[in-house]
Amino acid sequence: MKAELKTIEQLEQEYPNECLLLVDYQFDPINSQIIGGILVEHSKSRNEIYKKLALYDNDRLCIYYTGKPYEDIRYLL
Amino acid sequence: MTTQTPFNPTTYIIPIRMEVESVNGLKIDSLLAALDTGASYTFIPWDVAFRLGYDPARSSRRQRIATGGGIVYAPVITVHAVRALGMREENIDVLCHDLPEESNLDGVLGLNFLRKFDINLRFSKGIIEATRLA
Repeated sequence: MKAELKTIEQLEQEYPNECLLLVDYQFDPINSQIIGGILVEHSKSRNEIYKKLALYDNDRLCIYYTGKPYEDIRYLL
Repeated sequence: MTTQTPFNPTTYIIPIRMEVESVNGLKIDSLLAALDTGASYTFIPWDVAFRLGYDPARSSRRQRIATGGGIVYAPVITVHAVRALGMREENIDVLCHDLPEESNLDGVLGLNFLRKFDINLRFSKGIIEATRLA
């Protein structure tokens, strides 16, 4: 996969409803939001992304889901 | 110092970005966590703990926790620091626990982080204010 810095808007458009693994991510501390990063993995399964974490030794790594929370799920944490 | 973090007041949870630092403080993983004043502890996934150099399996501390799925025992580790809501807290205990995949959440920001601050959830403005306690 070619290393290319992309914005979150680009990534959400290219990989809808997927879990992404970004390295060297960019963070907006004012709004507490991820604004971009270099995509290294993507999957429909969050657990698949978790399994890939150990492969990366980068200093900054971000797990990002491009979808919206399920409308039919309520949370009891 | 007071920070202001925007959030969506209409969703069923309050998702926020949480960053966890590695054992030596040089690596950072960014996760999506639910702000949960009803959770005693902050949670992170097992695989994130491993990647950051922690070994929850070897932790001698286990915490009995009640979840939606029943009672489980989760290892407790002390991480170098957790960052959230524009704040950074060092040497904080976190539980290693994987939330169900369908939750689309990686973790929980719980009371053991939140109680370090005065937290004001301003639902009318969609802003979380956090002020560090003296």
